[in-house]
Amino acid sequence: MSREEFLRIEDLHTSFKTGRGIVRAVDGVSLSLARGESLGIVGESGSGKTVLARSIMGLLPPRATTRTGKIFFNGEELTAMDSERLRDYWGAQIAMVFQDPMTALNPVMKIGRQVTEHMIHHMKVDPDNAKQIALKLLTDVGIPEPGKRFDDYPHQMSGGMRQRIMIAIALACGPSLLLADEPTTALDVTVQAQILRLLAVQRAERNMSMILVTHDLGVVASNTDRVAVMYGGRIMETANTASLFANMRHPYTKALFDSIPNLKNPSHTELTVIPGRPPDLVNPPPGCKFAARCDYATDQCRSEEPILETDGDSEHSFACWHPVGIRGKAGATHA
Amino acid sequence: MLEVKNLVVEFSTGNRGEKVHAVSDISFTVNEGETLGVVGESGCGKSTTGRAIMQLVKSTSGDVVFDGVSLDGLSGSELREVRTQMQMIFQDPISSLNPRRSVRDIVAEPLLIWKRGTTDEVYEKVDRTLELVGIDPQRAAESKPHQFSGGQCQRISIARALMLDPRLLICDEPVSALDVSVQAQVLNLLESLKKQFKLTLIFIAHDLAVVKNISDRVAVMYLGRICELAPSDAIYSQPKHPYTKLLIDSIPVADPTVETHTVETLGEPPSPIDPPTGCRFHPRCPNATDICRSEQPQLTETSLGHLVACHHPLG
Repeated sequence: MSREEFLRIEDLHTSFKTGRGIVRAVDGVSLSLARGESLGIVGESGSGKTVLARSIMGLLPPRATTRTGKIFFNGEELTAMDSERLRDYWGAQIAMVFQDPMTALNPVMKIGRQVTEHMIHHMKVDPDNAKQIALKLLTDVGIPEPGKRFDDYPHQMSGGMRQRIMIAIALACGPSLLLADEPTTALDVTVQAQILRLLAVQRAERNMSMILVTHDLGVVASNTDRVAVMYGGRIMETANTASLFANMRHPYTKALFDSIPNLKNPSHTELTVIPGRPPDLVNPPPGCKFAARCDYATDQCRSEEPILETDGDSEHSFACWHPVGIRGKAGATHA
Repeated sequence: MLEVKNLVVEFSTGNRGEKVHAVSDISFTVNEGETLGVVGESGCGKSTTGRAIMQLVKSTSGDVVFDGVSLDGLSGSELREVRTQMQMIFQDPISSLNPRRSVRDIVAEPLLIWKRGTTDEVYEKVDRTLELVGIDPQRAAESKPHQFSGGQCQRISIARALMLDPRLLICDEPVSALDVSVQAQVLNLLESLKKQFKLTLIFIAHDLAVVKNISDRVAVMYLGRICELAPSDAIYSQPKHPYTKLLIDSIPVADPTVETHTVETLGEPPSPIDPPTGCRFHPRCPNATDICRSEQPQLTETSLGHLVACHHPLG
């Protein structure tokens, strides 16, 4: 890979102890991200996408969690740092935006203080200066009358406005990596469009990298440079966004895509169904995690786990014994 | 089959005289055997409309007529009788099932309450319906709702709703809590049950693509009013209300080669406590003029079966 690596994850495993046994939420994920690049992580509930994002941030309950593998950020190994050192990275270098803006904001603190808090404590910006920067930020994220809103509490704002505040807080210390975990899932579709555009504009202006975690292939298509599709804690397929959508190689990616109702189809079009349900991550099946629901599964799929590898297009990898789509085609050239 | 006439639902906020205008004077009909989709964003009144039809919330004014019978003046027992004909399924399938009872008993309950048949007949019908929706009756007898996934719980809710052989099924966001792969299973199930039992459906959801796919006609709601009502293919191919157009353009398309529409930043829906005058969409509408600010547009038919409430319809 020629591009400069900014974030590199090597064979990450994250598991939780539960009453039922050990849940392997992330089960051997490797990926990398370049400066300024936007990576989409797509998957359904329980695919491990959120745990992956939280693992990068180091935001997991330490006692119940086991994490192995290495995460390098800007050449430094995050996985070797204690929380004291990680604190220099949180907010300042890596920031996160969560799905639910109501529970992620402090309900009893004025929003102005929530936006400036980090700058004052971490960056040692003096309070008056921090307020000026915060007001500029609130304007940038599209809060009307920021001066007035500065002294509001979160409950006085709509869901979309609260998510804009969350983004302002995340951007406050100028992070170089933004982890956005389902940032628009709780929002209405017209507001979602606005928030996604806001993220794109801010990312371009700041040359910021972004990992966008979502269940929505539509959100990924227009907002990312590369995509990784997750299922059962593993990456099933990864490619640059254009080539993934042009030539889906993993049967799961294809099936996921086909099960979305398309506005272009006439009404009452029968939807393609993925039969069955996701695997139990306490007792994952041997072999390919998707085999039980896959139309193309053979005995090999049920016993031997395929590894993520390319054929032809070096940017496009998939973990499948019987890939669909067109072999060795460079999808990026597809119109 | 169902006629909603000038339905108004207002809730008190607790502050003196302050009211949430959840549904403001809407009228529509639902024909036997059709699926009417109701789509809109949070707070547009779509769920309240469904609940008001079921008489689960009291309407402030207006009437719901089911099969020629006005539901407004009915007594409690008469209403319960009518409700066997119209059933509802809800968004969160797990919390709408009693967590302490076996799934088989939950599904049997409507028949037991109405004493429809002997116990053997009841459970025979329960097992038949469970199999139809893809739930193993054996497992249903042994398990409680939390032992099933979200998609399976929604199938169980559907089985329960079908027990009294209803004619109208109101589905309030039935697939919003489900993953797309499971969502497709439940949507296909609803389509096939509709054919098999000759059901009439009101399908309420925020996802226009889902609503369009399952419906014959679609009503688009905004802040308590219907802004457009048309056959579902026409809603997508020729939207006439600027809000419908905004809704369509906002949906992210799963195709990176499609240029995303640059949706103009038009703010967010205002509060239904103090809705705008005139057309309720005017503060966010790119085409708004003075008349939009002062006069409320009426829902009028502009072409066959295509109704729109706009002073300056598109197209």
